[in-house]
Amino acid sequence: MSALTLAEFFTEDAIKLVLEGKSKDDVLRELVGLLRLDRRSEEILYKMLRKRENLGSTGIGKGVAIPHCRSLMVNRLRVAFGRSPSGIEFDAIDSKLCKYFFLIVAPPLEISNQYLPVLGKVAQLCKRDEMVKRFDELASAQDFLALLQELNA
Amino acid sequence: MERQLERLILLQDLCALKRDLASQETFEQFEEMGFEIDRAERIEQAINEVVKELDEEAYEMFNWLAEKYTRPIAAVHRGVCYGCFITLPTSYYDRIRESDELATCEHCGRIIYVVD
Repeated sequence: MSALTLAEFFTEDAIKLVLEGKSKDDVLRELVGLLRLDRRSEEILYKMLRKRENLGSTGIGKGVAIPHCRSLMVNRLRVAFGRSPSGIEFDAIDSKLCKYFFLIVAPPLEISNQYLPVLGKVAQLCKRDEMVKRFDELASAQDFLALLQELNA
Repeated sequence: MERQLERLILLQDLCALKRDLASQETFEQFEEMGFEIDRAERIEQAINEVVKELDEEAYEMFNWLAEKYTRPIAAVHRGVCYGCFITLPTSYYDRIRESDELATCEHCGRIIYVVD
């Protein structure tokens, strides 16, 4: 079985380098919007992400948040990336504003079992010291994809 | 989409989350990734809140199916139930697409949610 790489899951249209949201709720909605689901699916998914945040913030520190959940609203693993230039109060574990957001949503049943490995890879990637600078330098969605390819994450 | 179905879907997703967190191995994996899940008891509160908004009949149906299946609700994509992967009869599929009532798969009995 070949090792999975993050680059294979991201597409340009699910990357937004200037998030407009100013609050946690706004950013969650904006990230869900990048998945291009129908309106009702978006609403259910947003509610599920909100419930997940209530258990403990997905802001893991260093300006990174990885909101995630399983939901019937997707039939395969879906991911998105967003960057907020001004930062958002996200109740992160280090109490700092979050600027970099990875949304990860998986169906309830996943034969390929990629949800936790992808979550783990994203978390691992974001813990690297140089990543904040690299995320800040991104000028386009293509840059983000190229970064993942370069890091072979 | 019918409101009861939306709530049932949320209930199923919450139950899936509860199962994930109940697994010590999965819980530890989340912690290793850097997630602090320090309010896990809220999952039960969230489930109870959704249950309160459900009709008794819908909730009973869900519970009865939950005894048989880990996923009592299945999505339907292009006429195929993703619970049992059987193609729904065309006439039935057309009917439930237009209906606001809860529908079930004629083969596996799961509550179904038509995606496309």
